[in-house]
Amino acid sequence: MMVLTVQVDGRRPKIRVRHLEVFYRRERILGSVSVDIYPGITVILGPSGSGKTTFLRALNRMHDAVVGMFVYGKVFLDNRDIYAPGTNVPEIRRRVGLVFQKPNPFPLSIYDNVAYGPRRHGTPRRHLDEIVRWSLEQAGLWEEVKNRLRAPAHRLSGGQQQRLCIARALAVRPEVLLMDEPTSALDPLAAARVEGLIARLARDLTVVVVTHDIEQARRLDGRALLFQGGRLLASGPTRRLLSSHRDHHATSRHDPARAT
Amino acid sequence: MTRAVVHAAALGLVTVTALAILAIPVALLAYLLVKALPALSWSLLISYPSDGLRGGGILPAIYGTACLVGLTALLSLPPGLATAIYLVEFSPEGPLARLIRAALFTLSGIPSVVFGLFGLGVFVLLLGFGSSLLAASLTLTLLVLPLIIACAEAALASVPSEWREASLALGCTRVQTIRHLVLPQAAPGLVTGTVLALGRAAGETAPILFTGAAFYLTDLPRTVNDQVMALSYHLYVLSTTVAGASEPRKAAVALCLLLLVLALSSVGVVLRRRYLGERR
Repeated sequence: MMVLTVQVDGRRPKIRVRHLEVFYRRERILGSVSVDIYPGITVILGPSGSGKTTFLRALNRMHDAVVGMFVYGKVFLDNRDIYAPGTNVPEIRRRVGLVFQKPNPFPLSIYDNVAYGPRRHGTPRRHLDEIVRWSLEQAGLWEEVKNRLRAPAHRLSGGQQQRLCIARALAVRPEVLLMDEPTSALDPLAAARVEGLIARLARDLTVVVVTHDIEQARRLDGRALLFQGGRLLASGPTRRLLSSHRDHHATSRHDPARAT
Repeated sequence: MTRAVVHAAALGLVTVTALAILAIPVALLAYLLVKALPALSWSLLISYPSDGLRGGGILPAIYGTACLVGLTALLSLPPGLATAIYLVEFSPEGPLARLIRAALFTLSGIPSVVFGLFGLGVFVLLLGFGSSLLAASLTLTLLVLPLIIACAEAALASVPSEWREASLALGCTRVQTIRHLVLPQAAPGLVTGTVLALGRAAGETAPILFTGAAFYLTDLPRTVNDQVMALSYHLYVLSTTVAGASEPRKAAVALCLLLLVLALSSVGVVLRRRYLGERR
């Protein structure tokens, strides 16, 4: 079973979203969305308040924790609806990781941040060192921190913290990695590093990245979903989508501080 | 010109007030120390009272207060923490949470003597615990619960929600998140709040008056069903009932009580420091 799920099949969708709607109290904040998400990279574009983040967080049931949020519709992860009754939600979140906009390492050591997930999932202590090293290597952080794994994570720079958060997410071996504007809180250099890392991770995982930055979307390539006003406006290969929706770019807020 | 005067006056007033606050505990301590000096000795701390409470030591009262504080901590911490966890982690805005908050608000406004009478009626008589360490500690528990819950709630709420979200996003359950992330992070606040509440419990007289405090014991309590002497009640007795109790002796008992509460607070401060120190 494990071997099958690790294989990346570029033609079969990893996630199929059907008639997804999200309400906050009485207000519909995400329209009916039906779309397939394939292994590799998917960027989610759209202006502020267009429903990008709401859509992303619906993919691993993060809305569950918020009072007043209601999700309708189906989200199939490998043919299993994650909103079906009786679903093991923590297990879904283990398989579908999430990296936040603002780096949010735990107030623990670098090592303990990465080991946090595996420890909760009952990984034997003797495997932890190996998992921590592997995760930090995957996140391109190992060389920088290998001699100070016991140092507090808060001493790291913003970009390092974000890569640590990615390592932390990778440590539980997710199949899908959701990222909510992962570079928007970083300086241009750190952002470029994280962007390169995302492209690398997308070779083995299904990566879904929300971004404000059209140029970043172009560089990441892959497929794109374009949101506007709480609806999915278009989806398809990123380059084609960007060239056919020029007008939309003008409406997208372009924050100079975020430009790379 | 006038503005500068007003400014100087305001600054002066604020400074003087702040210094006055600082002076209160110092003055209190100094006053008691000077007054108690003639009565202070090691034997006061480690021997039994004699001569109708006018002489001898106050060991049973010190020991009794320690027992009351310890048992109250044991009784109040689990339900207090559980309630705070429910309020913060599970249902911050639910109707039940609102009801609980209203109840706590009411509870915290009730005079301590009312708790004493309630304890007498329910724990001593109705439940048949008799006048005992257990009944007195239960009564004190009711008194400090709102305080413990309020402090624990604040401590839990001070843990940023981004960390909780990150933990949940790693596939951890809510209970794992609380156990392994929220509680360790909230620990310093929890310790401080508990110590504060226990300090309050140590000083109270009215709740234990009818529920377990003894006038005079020749032996230390052995079980929770025994009555106990307590510093606060002993001071009350010396001041109101015992004719001819010397002033230094009263001051010495008061000083003991004050130092006990201070010691409790310092333990809290040290624990808090150590916890915070580990994180840096």
